[in-house]
Amino acid sequence: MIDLAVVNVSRLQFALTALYHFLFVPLTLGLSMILVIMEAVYVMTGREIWKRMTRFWGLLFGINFAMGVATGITMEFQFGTNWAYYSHYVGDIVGAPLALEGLVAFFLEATFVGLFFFGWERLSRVGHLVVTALVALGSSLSALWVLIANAWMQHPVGAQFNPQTMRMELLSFGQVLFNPVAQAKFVHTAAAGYVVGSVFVLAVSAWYLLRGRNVDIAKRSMAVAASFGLACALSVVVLGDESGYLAGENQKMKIAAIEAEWRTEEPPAGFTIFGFPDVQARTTHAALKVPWVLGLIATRSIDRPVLGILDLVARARVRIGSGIEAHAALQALRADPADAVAQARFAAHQADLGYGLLLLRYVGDPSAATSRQIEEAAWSTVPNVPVLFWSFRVMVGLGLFFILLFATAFYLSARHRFEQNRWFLRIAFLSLPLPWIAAELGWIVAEYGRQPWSIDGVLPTFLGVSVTPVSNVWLSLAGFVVFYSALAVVDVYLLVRMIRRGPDGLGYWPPERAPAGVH
Amino acid sequence: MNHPGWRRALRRELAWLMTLKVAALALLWWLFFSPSHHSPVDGEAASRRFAVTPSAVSAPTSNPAGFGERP
Repeated sequence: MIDLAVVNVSRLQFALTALYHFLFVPLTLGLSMILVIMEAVYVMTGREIWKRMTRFWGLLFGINFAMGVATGITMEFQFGTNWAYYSHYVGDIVGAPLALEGLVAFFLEATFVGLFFFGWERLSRVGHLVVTALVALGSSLSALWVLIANAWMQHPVGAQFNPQTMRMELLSFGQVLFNPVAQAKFVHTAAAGYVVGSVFVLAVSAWYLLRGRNVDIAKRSMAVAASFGLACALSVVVLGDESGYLAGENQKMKIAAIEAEWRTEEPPAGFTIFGFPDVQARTTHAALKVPWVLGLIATRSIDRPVLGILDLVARARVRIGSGIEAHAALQALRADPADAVAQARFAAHQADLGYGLLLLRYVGDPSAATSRQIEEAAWSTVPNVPVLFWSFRVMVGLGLFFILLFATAFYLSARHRFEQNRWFLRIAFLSLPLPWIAAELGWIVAEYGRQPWSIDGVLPTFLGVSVTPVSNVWLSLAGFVVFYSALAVVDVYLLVRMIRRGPDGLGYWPPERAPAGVH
Repeated sequence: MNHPGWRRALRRELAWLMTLKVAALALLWWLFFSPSHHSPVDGEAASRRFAVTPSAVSAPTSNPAGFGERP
């Protein structure tokens, strides 16, 4: 039997490191694009203030970029140290995009980020703009490759299980590359990152305006953040709708859990805006519903049902029965690969092998599972409903708030009325942590909603862990906590220090042209 | 960068940094990646993990839980 303590601590470690790493990723994505916009204006207009803006925000980008690199590398090590069986089982597929992320995207990004910082006086204006654009391209490509690997875990395509090697093997890299879930996740995540960058620029600029410092730079920065942020905040909603539709097609249990939809409703299903999911009673108390909306989001139709949790558990029960057949056939094939009967039986049931493997949490041999164990395994396919329900609603609520925030900023920017509306500047500054909360909640909805699977419908999470003493995982987790806490202190210290010094204190104003009172 | 000994100072700093980095990497390797921490995973190990080792073979039952085919 699997040591569940190792499973739980390994999951905790990966979740903590992923959530921590994801504090830096969206800001890198967002700031890199904003740098391109600012520098493009500098190249087009030749006005020095836009160069100073690019250099100042670029400095903050650099601090964040370094942190993102340091916290991202450790996650890939965990695949080997803590998730050795996962790596064996699906390394043939997820290994390729992760390797490409390093070779194609990160190398591009890391090479040109050096030129970005040290090339200001050595490259032409256009040449430096190209460098900045390549840094932004590298950041986005990096996200693309990681999300291609992640999307395969949500919707495994282009691969097949090989009974001889006991692993999934790649059949079509094209299918993995153009996995519709990957495309939807990438644009949604990238747009969310752009929103994070925009809110960051907006909030820091609002702080300068509240203090009457760097007014020209702050107002221009807010104008860029407002327009870019508004476009991206609107995109996040539209592209998130596409992710919701694809989850409705491929991860019905995730959608049912997000909606706390226990029973299948008559189509088109209503969207629950508010309620209190009760896992014990399998109902949602005080549910406030908007008719049709869930049906339209999840099925793009008014006549197709969105299956409820109870019906999906019944389906899982059937698939577990089929998975037991697949497991028995696999046993026969391992004993005699030429067994034609076993081959045919396995081919008929292999799509449900993962469901059969769910039983290994409760019994050594799935064929010997009792009805009760099958029932438990079927219910184990339901993720944590209250966590998903609330995470999703807070994320969506914040997404709508960002649209309002950027729309107001856009209006005030167009009317040149930022300084007269100090209430807005305070709201903009206080909004600083909100996009990170939304981004982390989005990640929780996507990944926690995938449970109990590492690879949806293929590999249960608990089977992917390494055979290692739990003390090892605790030790490395403690190391991560100490190391990452130290990094967080350094990161916040550097960012706050640079922001406090501001463009006026960083030497980006030539002394002879510095405005009065700036120094 | 204009004082005369900057090259030597830079070399000394770089040497210290490289030494510290190698020491940190060696410590990490010893703690987590040295041979005593290896748990080789191959087809046979996966077979044992997923309870499908040849030794564990039992006669396949026909639809043991009484469930129908996948819809």
